[in-house]
Amino acid sequence: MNISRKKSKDTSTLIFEGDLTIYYVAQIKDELFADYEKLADRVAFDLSSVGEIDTAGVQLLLFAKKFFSSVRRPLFISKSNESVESVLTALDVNTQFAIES
Amino acid sequence: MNLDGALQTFFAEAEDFLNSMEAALLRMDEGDTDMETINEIFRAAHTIKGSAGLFGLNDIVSFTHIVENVLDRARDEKIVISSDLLSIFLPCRDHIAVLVENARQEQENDAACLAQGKALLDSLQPWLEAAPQQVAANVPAASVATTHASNSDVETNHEAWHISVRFGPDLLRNGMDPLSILRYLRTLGEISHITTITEHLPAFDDYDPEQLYLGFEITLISNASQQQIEDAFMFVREESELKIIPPRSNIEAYVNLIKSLPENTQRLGEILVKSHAITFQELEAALATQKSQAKSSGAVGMLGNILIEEQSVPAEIVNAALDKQKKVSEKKTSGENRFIRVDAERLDILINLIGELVINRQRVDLLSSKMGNPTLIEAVTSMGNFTEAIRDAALTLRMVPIGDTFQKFKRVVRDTAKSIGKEIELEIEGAETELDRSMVEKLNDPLMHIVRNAMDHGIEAIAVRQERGKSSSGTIKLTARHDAGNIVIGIHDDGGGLDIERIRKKAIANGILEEGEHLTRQELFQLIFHPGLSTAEQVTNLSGRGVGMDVVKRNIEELQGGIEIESEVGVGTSFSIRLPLTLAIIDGFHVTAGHIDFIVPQNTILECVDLNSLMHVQGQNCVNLRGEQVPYIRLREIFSLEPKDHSREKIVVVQFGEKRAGIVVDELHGEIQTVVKPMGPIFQALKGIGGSSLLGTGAVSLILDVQQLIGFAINREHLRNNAFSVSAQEQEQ
Amino acid sequence: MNQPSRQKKAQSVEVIKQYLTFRIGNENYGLELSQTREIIEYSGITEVPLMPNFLRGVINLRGEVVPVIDLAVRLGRKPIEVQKRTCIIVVELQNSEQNHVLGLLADSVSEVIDMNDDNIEDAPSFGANIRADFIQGIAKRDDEFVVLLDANSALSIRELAHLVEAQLQ
Repeated sequence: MNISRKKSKDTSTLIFEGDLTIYYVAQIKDELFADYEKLADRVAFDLSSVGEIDTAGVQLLLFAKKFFSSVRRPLFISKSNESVESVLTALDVNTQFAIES
Repeated sequence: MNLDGALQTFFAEAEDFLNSMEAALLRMDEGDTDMETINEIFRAAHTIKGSAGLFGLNDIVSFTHIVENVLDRARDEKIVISSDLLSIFLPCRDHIAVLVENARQEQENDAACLAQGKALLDSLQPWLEAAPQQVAANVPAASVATTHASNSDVETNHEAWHISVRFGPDLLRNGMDPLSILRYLRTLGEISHITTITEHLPAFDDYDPEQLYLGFEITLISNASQQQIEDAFMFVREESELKIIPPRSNIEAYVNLIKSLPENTQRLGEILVKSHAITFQELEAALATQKSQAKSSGAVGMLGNILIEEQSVPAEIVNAALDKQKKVSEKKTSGENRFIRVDAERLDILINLIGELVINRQRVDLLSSKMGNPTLIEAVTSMGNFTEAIRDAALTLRMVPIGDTFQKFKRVVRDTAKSIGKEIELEIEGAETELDRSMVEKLNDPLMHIVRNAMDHGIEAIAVRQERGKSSSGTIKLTARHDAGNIVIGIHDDGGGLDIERIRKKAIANGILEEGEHLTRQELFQLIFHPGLSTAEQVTNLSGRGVGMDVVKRNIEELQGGIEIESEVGVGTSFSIRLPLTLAIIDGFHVTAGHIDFIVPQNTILECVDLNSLMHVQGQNCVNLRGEQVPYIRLREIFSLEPKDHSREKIVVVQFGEKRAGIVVDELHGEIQTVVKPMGPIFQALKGIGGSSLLGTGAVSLILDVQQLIGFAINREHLRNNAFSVSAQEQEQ
Repeated sequence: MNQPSRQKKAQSVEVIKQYLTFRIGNENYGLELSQTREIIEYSGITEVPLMPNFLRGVINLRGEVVPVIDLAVRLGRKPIEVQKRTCIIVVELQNSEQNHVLGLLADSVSEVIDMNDDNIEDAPSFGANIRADFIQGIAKRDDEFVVLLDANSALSIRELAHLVEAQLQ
């Protein structure tokens, strides 16, 4: 799993590449929240290059959502793919990551 | 990540389900048409399929799915399970077993295996395709399997279940994923609402990404039974909090649910309202009423009553719902949920530890009696009683009913009888008789051998039976019962019987027996266990019986058991196998001969007396015990031990089966509980010693194999004096 | 297993193995350390009747009943006489079927030595007065020879069981 960051104006985009599964969540957590202060006011996740995602992965996303809102940085998913989308829908959490206007 | 635990459980459960499936199929083969039997088969297939799905074992899922579909049609009475269909179902069940076994061995299913599966599915095809006229006729009866929910309800197909689950924190770490459970639930119906509960996600520092914090509130539209839904959670059940509210439950159930869950009441109420389980007004009203009643009366009012008083729900619905709940809980306590699975190895460890405890207790006994402090002795004695109780309780943990073993033979008998063109019925008696698990495993082969022989050579061909005026269908009966610390297993057939004269002639011809040698009836029968008696030459009813029978006897002897035969020409043959209940711990009697400690198994001992107090039969190693001649052996003699000085020899009179003999020793020490320790392969050839055990002092003692010693004693007397064997024979009759 | 030294030499890889050396009579023997489990004092052997000379009896090793072999008899020497320094070397043999634990009687235990395969000579085909297949190799140490035993062969459970059977007949 690799996370790269892109910053544009008021939004930082974190691009996830690889699997978002129980095997990687510990590692992802370390990377994801490192230096979060440097992120822009809004955080976007690009999940279009995520391979597999499981409940641990979804939980990490939910946790990220909660965490970033606690540091006043709204989080949304800017891009995703079919497999991510179907899992988020299956757990009915997709709406929580919708872009807030 | 460790998936092993859950997977192993799956394999074990699958085996159980396959066994019950087989048993049910065989019952149907015998004419059982009970809907519950069909349901049982269906449930087995369904659960295996579902669980296999959880682990991604797709071959099992896809094969079992089709089998399940056919079963489902039978359940709906759209098709009838005919004997044709049964003879496909049995191999289908076997094929599932193969697939499960391959998965257990982590083996790919090879082409041959898959082709076989395909062939089986093809042969199921006729039952899959709807035969239109039948369907039309049978539709009204389709809902037989569902329990009548309540008299006032209209039967609907859409049943909204509410499932509330909070998984254990280690679920993900253990390799399970709630997503696969949801996937499984979707095979049961439609998930119309799901809410992921995120309230328990902790603060940053406490967040462990591998731990599960999420909970789920699920509305499932399904016709499935509560059991089926619960089965989805089978592998996570223990560590999870699972609440399932059946469709059309009254509001009380929901209110109780809300109260029992850790989350905020308001929020849960919202979820339920959102999922249309209840209306907002109903919820508010019920909560408010309960609160005010609790305040005024100081006790929480019965919600059911409140709802009835308010006329929000008719009384009969409440009663029906309460009834239903009661039924569900009764089912739970009377059914399989009372059992927990324990790794056999853990049990063995426990029993070994208890064995050590027993030994140590003896050491404490020894020390306390040496010290002679009465208070101490009293305390030690009472501890000893508990130790004994613990030992007995622990041993029962490993006891299993022999029924499962017997059950397997139903299939064997059915298949073999078909293949050799005979009609044979298997009767089972005493299936509930229990014995040690480790014995059961070792008993399988000898039993199989005897049963197969009985089918092949015991039971006559149909024509022969008719000629002899017997029913055309032969019967093999397996029985089990407890008898004085032993289990006695019988295999009886009503076939041609053993011709004792033929056995004698055969034995003489093969040089096993001398012409004119006198043998008791039992001894002559026992000759069929002689390895030299098994030849290819045909001897009507005996043919083949000799093959491998020596192995049967050896197997039984390895289990410290014995086997006896009774047979009558034209009437049938009975084998009876006598085994100790357990091999792990025995009650023994500690004796010494020379300077070696021996243990005589307590259950074989009749009495112990001074050798000199008995009348000796002149010129023989035989004493007169209250008029009965009992042959004896001296341990010192047969084991070539050096004599001890000043010993007054004692005789331990033992019995095994019908036989009695005396074992002469130098000293008696008394009763002792001993843990049987195997002697290992080096000592295999040593006859008369069945194992070893540790004494309280830590010294090793040798456990006598009483049966072999009796054999020694009788044979020797027999050689010395033929007259004796005649008298022994008389005694035996 | 019979010719490990020869094979290893051919690969010219230096392999150092550890051996536990002990004395029986005035001869030195060695066993691969990995096959030995512990050394215990000689005490409380229970004799098993009718056994051949090499089988001295059984001991209670922390709850396990373990046969004790007189290695001297097995190697064609006089039986070991129990003295103050007599001890039992507990060995664990891996067999295709299962593990076997055996006790070996020895007059005294000497030391653990490191042996390079190059310093181990093949078993002589004659002259050692011991069955050739019992010997893994011969090592020289401080002007003394150490006979390195092939435990799997010298203590083959199958062969020992056969010998017991033969004795009983």
